[in-house]
Amino acid sequence: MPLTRFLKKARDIKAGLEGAGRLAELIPRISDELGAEEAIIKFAQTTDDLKAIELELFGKKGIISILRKKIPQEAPEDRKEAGRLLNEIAGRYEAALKARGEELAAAERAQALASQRIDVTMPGRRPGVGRPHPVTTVTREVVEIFLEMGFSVAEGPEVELDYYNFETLNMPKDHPARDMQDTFYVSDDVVLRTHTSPVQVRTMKSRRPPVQIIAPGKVYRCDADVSHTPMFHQVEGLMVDRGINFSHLKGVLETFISKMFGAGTATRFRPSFFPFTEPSAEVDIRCVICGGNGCRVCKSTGWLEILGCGMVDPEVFRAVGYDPEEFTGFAFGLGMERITMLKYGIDDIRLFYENDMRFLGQF
Amino acid sequence: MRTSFNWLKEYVETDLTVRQVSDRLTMAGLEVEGLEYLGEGISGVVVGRIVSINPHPNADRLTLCEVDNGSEVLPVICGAKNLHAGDRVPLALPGAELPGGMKIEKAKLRGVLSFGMLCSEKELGLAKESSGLMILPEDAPVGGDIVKAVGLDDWAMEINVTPNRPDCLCALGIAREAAALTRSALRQPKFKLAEHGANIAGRMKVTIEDPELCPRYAGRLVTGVKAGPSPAWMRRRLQAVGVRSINNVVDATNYVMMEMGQPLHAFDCRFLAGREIIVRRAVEGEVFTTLDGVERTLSKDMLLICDADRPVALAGVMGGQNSEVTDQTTDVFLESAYFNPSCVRKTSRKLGLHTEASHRFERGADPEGVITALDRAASMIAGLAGGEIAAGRIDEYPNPLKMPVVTLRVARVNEILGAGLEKDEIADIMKRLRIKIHEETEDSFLLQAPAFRPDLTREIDFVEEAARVYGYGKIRSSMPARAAAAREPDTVLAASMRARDAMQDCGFHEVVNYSFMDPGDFDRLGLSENDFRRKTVTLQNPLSAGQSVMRTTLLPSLFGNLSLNLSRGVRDMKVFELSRVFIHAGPGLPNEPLKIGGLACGARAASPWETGGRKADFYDMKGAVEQMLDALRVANAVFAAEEDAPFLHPGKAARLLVGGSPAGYIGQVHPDIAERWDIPAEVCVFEIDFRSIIEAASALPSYKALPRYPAVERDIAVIVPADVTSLSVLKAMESLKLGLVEDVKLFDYYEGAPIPEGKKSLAYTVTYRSFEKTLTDEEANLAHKKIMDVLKERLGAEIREQ
Repeated sequence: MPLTRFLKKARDIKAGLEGAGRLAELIPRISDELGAEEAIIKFAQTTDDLKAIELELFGKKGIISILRKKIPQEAPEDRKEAGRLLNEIAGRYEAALKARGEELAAAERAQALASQRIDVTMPGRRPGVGRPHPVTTVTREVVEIFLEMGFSVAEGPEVELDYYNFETLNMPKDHPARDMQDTFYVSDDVVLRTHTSPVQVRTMKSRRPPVQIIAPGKVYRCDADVSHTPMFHQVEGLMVDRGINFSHLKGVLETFISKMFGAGTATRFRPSFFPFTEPSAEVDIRCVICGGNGCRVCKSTGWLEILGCGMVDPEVFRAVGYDPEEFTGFAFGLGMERITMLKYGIDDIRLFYENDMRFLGQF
Repeated sequence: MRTSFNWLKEYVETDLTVRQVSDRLTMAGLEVEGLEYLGEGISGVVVGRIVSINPHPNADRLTLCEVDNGSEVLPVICGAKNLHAGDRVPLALPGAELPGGMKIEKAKLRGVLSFGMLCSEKELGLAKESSGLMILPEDAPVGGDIVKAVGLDDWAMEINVTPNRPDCLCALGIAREAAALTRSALRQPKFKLAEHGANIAGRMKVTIEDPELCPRYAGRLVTGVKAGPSPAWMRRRLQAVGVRSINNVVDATNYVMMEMGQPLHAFDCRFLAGREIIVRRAVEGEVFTTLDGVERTLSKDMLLICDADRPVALAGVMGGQNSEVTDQTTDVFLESAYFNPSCVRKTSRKLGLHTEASHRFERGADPEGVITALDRAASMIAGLAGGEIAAGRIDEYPNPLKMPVVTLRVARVNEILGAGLEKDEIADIMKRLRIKIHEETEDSFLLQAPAFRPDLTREIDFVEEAARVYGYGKIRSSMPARAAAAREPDTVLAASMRARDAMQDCGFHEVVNYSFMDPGDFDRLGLSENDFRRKTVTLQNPLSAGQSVMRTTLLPSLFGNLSLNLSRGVRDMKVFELSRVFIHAGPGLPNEPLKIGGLACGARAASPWETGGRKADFYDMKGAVEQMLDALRVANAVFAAEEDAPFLHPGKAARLLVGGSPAGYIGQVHPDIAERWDIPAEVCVFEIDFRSIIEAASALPSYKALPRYPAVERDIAVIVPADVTSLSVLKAMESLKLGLVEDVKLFDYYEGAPIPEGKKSLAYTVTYRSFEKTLTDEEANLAHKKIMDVLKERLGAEIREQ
């Protein structure tokens, strides 16, 4: 109640002002009696309180205003002193009001902000981010590495002529090497490509060397079990020019491997057989799972096969109209699923094509 | 190809371990994929000799044996009946381990202590079933380790023999390779051949009617054999290399095949009519029952072995049931031949009949090895099954096959390899591989490969041999000088990456599906009979009917993805796929248009607490597609109602037009179709021809200078008939060709009271701007008035006062 008491006191003082005597005496007395500064500091709890006090002091009918109106009625010799005294207390009151006003405003703002508090632990409003398929990510990575080395991307059909998929690659109809690739047939002459190698032939048929391409894409084999899916992805590479040799093949693929699997990844080139390259090789890297000590993934050999490659067979050059005495070149093929599985530690190839959202969301 | 290390060591002298030999083979192209110790899991089992057999005091079915373990005689209790004093048997001593993890301890059986266990073949993991104790040969050393005594101290080697190396489909071939690689001596198998009686010439006759398909046919006669089970060592060895034991005669032929790579066949002479063999082509449609009991219909490019009356074997593939060797057989005609690889392959493929013999013949057997293998097998049969080998042999070889003589240039070797092999090194390698050097000049060789290497016929083949034996690892690596080929920009690749990124930014995961579909899906999608999507590429040999045609649309796969996720309790799904589809286009190859498609189902946002769990709808899907088109900088894309997509909700389907041509669709799935596919009705999908949109995309952003003068915005709210589209409102505005209109944005859409039935309210913010000066209010108002007028006039719009 102290504020009400103050206001009542102020009204009482105002009521007793008529003919109360000399202002020069009256002003200090009123000031003491009123105790306005104390009231401002102690009693004003809100900016509204403060406004009420201000009104009682400086309002049209406020004490200060009433007193100021009385000055002309004072004896001329007293007016100056009265004016000085009035200005002095008015100044004090104003300063007190301002200071308290700032205090209260700050407190009230703090309170208002506190009341706007939100629960910052609620989940954020996400636009939602989709993920690329892991095989896409790895393919993109592989393609980037070869683009940096000066290769261009080439493409070819997935439904392919037997002629390009096999015959021009030195695999005539009765070649036992066809057993290495279980083939989906559309007709006697049309197959689903079993590898990306026909892109080599199509590219070479369409231009003269130098050729330096990679061909990423889907390939198909008529095979489905725990470790085989009927469709998978390969990246084919081909480099043909004068003077290209096996040493270059090793250099390019070792560069690729160190960029893909980390510098210092041990590799070995192991003789193998592909009808369209000779000499042919398979390339192993030191097992990324066990570091070469032997584990289930590398079948205790300490090595993981990651690609097949070789020098382009002269028969393939003849089929595309290049002179094998003038030009030499190398080709390689990488299986994307295999590399993706190694990279992420995925143990079942079929997961790639189930497209379970909980799988896809992890990459 | 499976072989065993001990078997190899019979032919190659080496101190190397099985792992060292495996490593050498692997690094020379014969990849050893697996090694398996045959005695794995057996320890503490010795050869025991039964001293006496006494009844068990407390059990009728058991006996109490005294068994000599080499150092002492122990009491062992046994349940088997086939034992006699003096027999040598496997004795598992206390502490022994048997395959499968069984441990043997001292144990009391019916009150009597037994110091171990006598084992059967089954208990030692040597057979699946056995009827009693395993009785060992009389010369088995008492007290010796059973692993050694029964030949289990050996490694089975699984070798990946590539199709160019038929010579390595046998133990001797691999040994020959190992000897060449390790510079060790090779020991040819030694055997004695005792001939008896009349010469075969008068007793068997062979006629080759088609010398092209059968260049060589040889045979021997063994009479008076007693076919029966093979001895243990033979069974064990065949088992180690994965061949089932049949009887001693057949086992001998298989043994020689696994040893020398030459497939052989034994006929029972009783069933060879006229004691005659005729090698001829089959007659088209001729029927023959192979010894697996299957009746096969033949064609005229297949080769038959016949007697005077009828076929008795399918040449190079399988014998006939009618002349098979059985336990009653006494006289055997043994065939060793060389058949045309291509003919055997065609026959085997056509009949779907792949055998150990066809596997070898189609890759190319050794025409020069025919006789040695024949003699070896005859000698082995006589040794195992008794009988007499008739004097002489038949050997029809009308046109001997010759390996070509090839020039190998030293410079060419180094040109291909980028290495510096010396001429002497190359010569050394060729000699180790038994390649004949006919002539040698300063910088080249004239070479001829042995007949067992049909893969070596061209210069490049010899280059590979040089590289392989020299060691790929020794060829240094180098980078080629940058090829002069300029890198070509790839717009499709770049665009597909941008499109993927854009879809992912909209919250869509990328899926990759098989390119196959079920032809029944077209009906399930409600496609009309002449819909272009029914023009499928059909597989002749699909994995299943549900995967028998190539996809012509991505939709069925996306529906499949949704079903799988729903079945696993995943209800919210936003996915896209970028893939080719295949449209049959007459003879030749199909068209392979690239499609981008997507599906959204379930919650719209990742934080459903705020959207009140609102479901993704048409406009969410459209927004994602628009954003992707923006990312690709496709400027001239518009959407119109789609009326030709039977699988979409007729009121919620849009057609994408790019430059006026249809490029795809977006829409909510038709409720009937959703029901048919058992998916929720609120599923939205899209599918767009990717090449159409990238052809319309600008390669570069079209940069415009930033405006220098402020814009003026005016809002306009119109009430139009409900069927007036947002597009037609924009078109009406555009028709004024007001240069000042910078942008028009729909900010409100409303239907329902107080808007009259059949009407809707649309509110737009129009931004006016001049690039020359600051617009005055009057100028903006004038333009705005024109817009209001055209909307009233063209669309019967009523302007709502603000």
